[in-house]
Amino acid sequence: MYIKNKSILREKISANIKEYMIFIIAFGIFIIFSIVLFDKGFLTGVNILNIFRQTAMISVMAVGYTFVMATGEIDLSIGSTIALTALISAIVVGKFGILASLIAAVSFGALIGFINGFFVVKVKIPSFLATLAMMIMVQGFARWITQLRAISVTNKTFNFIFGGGNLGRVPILFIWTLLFIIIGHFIMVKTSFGRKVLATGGNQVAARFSGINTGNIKWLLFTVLGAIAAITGMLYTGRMTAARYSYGENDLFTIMAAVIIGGNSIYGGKGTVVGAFIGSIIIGMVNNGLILFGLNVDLQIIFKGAIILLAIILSPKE
Amino acid sequence: MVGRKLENSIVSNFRNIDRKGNPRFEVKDLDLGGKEKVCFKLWPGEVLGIAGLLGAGQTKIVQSIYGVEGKYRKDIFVNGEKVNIKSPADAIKHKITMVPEERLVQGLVPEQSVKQNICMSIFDTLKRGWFINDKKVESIANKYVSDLSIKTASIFKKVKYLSGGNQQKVVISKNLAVNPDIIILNDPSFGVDINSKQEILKIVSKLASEGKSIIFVSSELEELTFACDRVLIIKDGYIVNELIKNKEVNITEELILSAIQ
Repeated sequence: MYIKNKSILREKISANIKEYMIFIIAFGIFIIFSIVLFDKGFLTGVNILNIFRQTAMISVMAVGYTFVMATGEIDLSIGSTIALTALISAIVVGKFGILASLIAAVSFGALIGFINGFFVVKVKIPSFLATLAMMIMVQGFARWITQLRAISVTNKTFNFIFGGGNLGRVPILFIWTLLFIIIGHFIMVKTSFGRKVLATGGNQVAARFSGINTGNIKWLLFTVLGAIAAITGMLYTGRMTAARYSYGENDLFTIMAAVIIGGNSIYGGKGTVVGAFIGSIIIGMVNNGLILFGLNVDLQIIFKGAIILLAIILSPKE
Repeated sequence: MVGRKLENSIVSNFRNIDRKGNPRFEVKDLDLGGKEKVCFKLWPGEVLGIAGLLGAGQTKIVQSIYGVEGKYRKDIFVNGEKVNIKSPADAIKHKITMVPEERLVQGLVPEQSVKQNICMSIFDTLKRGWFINDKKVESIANKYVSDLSIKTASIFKKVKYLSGGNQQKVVISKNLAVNPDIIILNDPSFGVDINSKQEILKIVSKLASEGKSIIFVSSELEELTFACDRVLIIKDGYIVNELIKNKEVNITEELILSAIQ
């Protein structure tokens, strides 16, 4: 009986060792940067908190994207949705207040996601194409309604809650991050919904044969991702006290990279929210480190791309 | 079949099915485009075989019943009541489950563990509050591993590492976990070793003796002869014949073979 338990334990550990690997990698990078960039101030409280501020938007999106990727789908429209919902929230908060702007932005984001889901599930267009088309249309819409101008937000409470505020030394963005990670993690790991998501991604046909409504699940995940993009848009807006159509422009790659580095598979079937968070932190540390190194902005971009590619290659895969 | 011959003691294998009462399950006017529409009834404790040449319509019939195939018009009655089955979820709701033809494509999520695969149809019933009760998941998985003699290093092993026969038993476990009244098995012995084949047939017999209704689609005549109380013969999309086992007359392989040509 004892031996049987021991082998079950070993089985469980070997199944999880790949997930633990991502923590080890992140910790390793942290140690290296702390040593190499010590005199550039990497380890200071201010810098660490800054890393959390800078990674918050990516981390929040990565939670939602983990679910979509776990079903084997892709969403290219998230960057544009972030921008459009940011602009909508800025427009509405000025006239109608915070609650109205939250409802407006989230509804619009959810609507975009709903339309994505409709085309993927009901019309059966590959998600790459459907969300690519949405991305272009939403981007165009965002540029059109604002005539390419930024929209400033003067509501101090809005800017505090959605982005800029601090509770003591803790940035509100960190709290948002924690909130999404914790909720996302528990949904994926501890609910029947999470199990169905993983089954859908692992083998959609078998999941359907088992009585799982895979179409509805995917549809819901696209919709929720759109809503999360709206929250992210509002976080950008609050942090910058203004909404710009360029928000989220370059985030698609970073979000997908974070989720993949974290150990998720683009083919679906794997869903680790915590991994995606660690992936986001790794990218954030690399970003931060490159800035502290004092590299040219252009070189920063090249290095960032190269390092992220390397991380994806090295990340736990089947 | 190389190896052991199946026990074929008709005397001990005859089940006295009471077909006088109302059928537990009935299919009416299932239109596969054949000369006639498909109609049949199924009683508690009965194993109904469906035999025919490849592509005669067996899979179309069972996949229509199970809600996977929506193309064909049909009327389905469970315990006398008309039911609408548009998806496997609907079928399961009415306590109808299926062990599908293609194990790895339709029956299992290969990268997931034995325990997740066994419980795949019943996640919603395994909650404690908002969250899944993992202890319950594990105990159910362990129960079926022991009841059906599934050979696996542990319930955490990925199901792709199991042999064909043991994989099939996982699929059967998934079915049984729903506590179904009607179980469809489509070619359950395909790619299964001889030992597991025997065990699966024993499981089918046991389920029938417990009062469950079974639809058994197979191209292995020996199995149909051994396991079934009645056999429907399908040809070109409709039922051409029905063979019934009674106390004196067995359904022989020759009979089936001549009927399906």
